[in-house]
Amino acid sequence: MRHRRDVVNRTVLIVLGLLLLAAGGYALLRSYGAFGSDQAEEMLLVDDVHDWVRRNDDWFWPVAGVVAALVAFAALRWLWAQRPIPMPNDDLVYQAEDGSTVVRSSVLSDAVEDELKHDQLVEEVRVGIEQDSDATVLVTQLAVRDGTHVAAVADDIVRPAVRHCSEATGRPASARVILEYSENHRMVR
Amino acid sequence: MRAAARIAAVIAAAALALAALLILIEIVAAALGNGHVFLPYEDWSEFARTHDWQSDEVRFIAIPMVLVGIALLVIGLAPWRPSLVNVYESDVAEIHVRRRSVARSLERAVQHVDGVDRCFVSVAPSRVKVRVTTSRRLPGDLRPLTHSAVTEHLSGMGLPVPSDVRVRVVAPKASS
Repeated sequence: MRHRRDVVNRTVLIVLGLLLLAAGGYALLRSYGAFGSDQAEEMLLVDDVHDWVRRNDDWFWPVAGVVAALVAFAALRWLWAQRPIPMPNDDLVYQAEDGSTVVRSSVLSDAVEDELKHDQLVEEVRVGIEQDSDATVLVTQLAVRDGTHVAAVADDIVRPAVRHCSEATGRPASARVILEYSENHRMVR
Repeated sequence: MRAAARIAAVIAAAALALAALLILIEIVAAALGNGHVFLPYEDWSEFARTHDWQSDEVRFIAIPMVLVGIALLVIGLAPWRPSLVNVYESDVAEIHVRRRSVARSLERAVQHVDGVDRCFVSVAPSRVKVRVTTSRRLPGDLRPLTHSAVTEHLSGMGLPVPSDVRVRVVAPKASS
């Protein structure tokens, strides 16, 4: 999702940059007589264009309105895409012949967060739940004490939490961890 | 550059949406037989019919357009380094570490080296750049000490140590 946003940002910024550069460059070149002095001395809005718009105003302005609405919609979508990406929150559903049981993702993520928070090395933690077809993925943002070894994070902090999650849900589980090193150490809990 | 792109995207998207909505409002207002609501387009039309391409106003508008266009192109075309580095993978977990977090951690480690006043670290997947400022007139062994502090800190955290660790020491110029 983050990658897709980066691709969209890059593409739209390049397109807008090219449009602005082309329009501004054209205006400057024409202004300084690059296309001849006749063109430079022409009015910005010549009568031909003005008359053409006036003759076609029965369809021109409705089309311009639709285009403006589409641009506004696309720009608002683009703006909305810049918000921070929320943690996944897939519920866990157990299907049975006579119905189904749903375990809310918040229950699972709160339990895993509580377990991780009790580790001395963990400063901050946020957990999201992603359900693959055959496994539960704990999407975890973890801030640990500065200098903590990656193997310690994997074996002493994450592995037990994944195992407990797997035991509790009865499904295989794994973790995708985004790790940060924290400068501030928590007080003793 | 990714953060700059996101800021540019927010500004550009907001500006574009605002401009398009204002134009839409003006078109609807004109269709209903009213005059302008927010944009004085009658004045702009008059301006465009009475000014030629050589007028100063056109150049004052065109120059910022070119500059903003170049800035957007630079942001869009510059390489964006990955913000996360994959440092561990097993059947149970995959761990990615934020480059910026590693850089701040290295800064804190280098700050403890004797003689370092300030330091700035940037981390790329295959390179670490360290800029150290010292008040010593003779930096002496500050460069190798900083270098070993960086490699030891990375090893101590179990992170890959890039072969390219560049240390630059900035010391006050010796007066004669």
